[in-house]
Amino acid sequence: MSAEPTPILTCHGISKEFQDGGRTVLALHDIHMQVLPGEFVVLLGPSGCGKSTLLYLMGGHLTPSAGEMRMHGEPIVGPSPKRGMVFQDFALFPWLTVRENVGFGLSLRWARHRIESRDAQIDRLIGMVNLRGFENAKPRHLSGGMRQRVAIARALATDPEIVLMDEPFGALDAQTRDGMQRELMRIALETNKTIVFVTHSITEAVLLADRVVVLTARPGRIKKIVPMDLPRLRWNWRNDFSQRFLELIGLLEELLSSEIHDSVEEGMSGKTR
Amino acid sequence: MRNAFTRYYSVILALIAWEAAARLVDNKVFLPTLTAVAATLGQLVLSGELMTHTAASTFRAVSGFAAAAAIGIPLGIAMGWYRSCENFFSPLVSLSYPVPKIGLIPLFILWLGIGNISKIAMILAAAIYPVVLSTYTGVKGTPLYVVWSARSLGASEGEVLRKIIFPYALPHILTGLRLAMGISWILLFAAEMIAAQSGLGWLILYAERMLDTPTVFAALVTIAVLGFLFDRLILGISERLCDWYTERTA
Repeated sequence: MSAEPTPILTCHGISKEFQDGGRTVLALHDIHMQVLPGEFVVLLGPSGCGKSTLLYLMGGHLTPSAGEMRMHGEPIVGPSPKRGMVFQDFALFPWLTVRENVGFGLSLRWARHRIESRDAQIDRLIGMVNLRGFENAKPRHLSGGMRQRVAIARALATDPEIVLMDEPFGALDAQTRDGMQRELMRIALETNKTIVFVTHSITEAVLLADRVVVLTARPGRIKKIVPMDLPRLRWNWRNDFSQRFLELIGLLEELLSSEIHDSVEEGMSGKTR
Repeated sequence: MRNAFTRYYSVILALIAWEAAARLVDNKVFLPTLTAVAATLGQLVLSGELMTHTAASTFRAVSGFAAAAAIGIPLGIAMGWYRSCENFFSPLVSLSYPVPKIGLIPLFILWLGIGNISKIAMILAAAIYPVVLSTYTGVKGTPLYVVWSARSLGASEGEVLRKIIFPYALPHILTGLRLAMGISWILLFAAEMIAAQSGLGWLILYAERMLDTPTVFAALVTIAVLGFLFDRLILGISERLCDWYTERTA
């Protein structure tokens, strides 16, 4: 096991509680996991299981109630340009153009002296996400898919070691979503970025992930970590109805369906109580 | 040209109605005709009187407005951003907002004398509320994920305030400034009741005592036009700066 690479990011017994009108709600319980360099990790779970919360904890936007989040062994104490974020509703800066959105991180004080050839960097990213010709458009003039491409380019602009994506294609229609998944995989291969990706879509998880972390219903605990033992770029596999592809989907469906079932029962018993 | 007409024809109709009503009444003290008011305005312009009063009034109204903006915007941002500021200032704002500022005239004279300072303070005291409340609302409305995006790109606390919170709240801030501008002109009249020697408000009071109704109207029209011009100025600025907000998406 000496060849085991050192993880970029580690969760040590992470728990997270929220205060909800005087009540304490446990969102996550005792999460132990790690993310290896270059890996594509998908967090999969029923809605409300705390998978987004786990991502925000990794981003440093929330602080854990117990346990420790570490990056390269250093405790995460807040947000950092080393960890890029992409949100479901894009969260673009609507008063800025595409170019200014993508270049936002590089225009900040920390980057101004450190990074040269900012313009070239921004040009390269706009080209990478296929937004040439839209540099001066403002977000409101773009379609959902294009907005998310701006958000991805913006997150990549600071050259983060890891990109955290919170259901980034959840607000897109099925066709756009399909195209964006392929584009993301291409970008992931091109840039060799480490990605943590939250979704509740099993197909999306199998298409993209190297490893899928399946979470239980609230409070979210790790149910199982499933390695996707298929080579990347799985679209062809899906078209060929690869046996393994379908097996993996079936496996995740089974893991998840018991959780959805449990959470429904829990909700119902809660009501009759 | 046609555009200008469709934009302002309500004003033209109102002016025609005024002229017709005044001719019907046929009493210069009760309701002077538009033409009579225009003649008086012309005289006031020629004598240079109007310029003096307009300059004095504009200085007071704009100073009060500028002070309200200079204090109100930072205060509104602080209240919307820092919980401790919100807790501290919010009840004070709610408590002092309904206090009739005109009722404070004797106090302002007592504290600040009868010069321009007390007049400007008077306008400030009324105009600051819409600025603070609109700015506060705008800051509160900034989506959390937009702020988080900026932070994960490496924005410092100051950069988040300057580069995210302020632009996001700007449409609300400018709405607050529009309201404040209108209030400044309204309060100007009250402020110029404080032992003034000049100003359009003073001119109205003076002319009323002389039963010189055309001059009263001439001064009122001047205030209306000034208020209109300043309102259009702020509106133009906000349309230019906040096109991302005002323009509806298809």
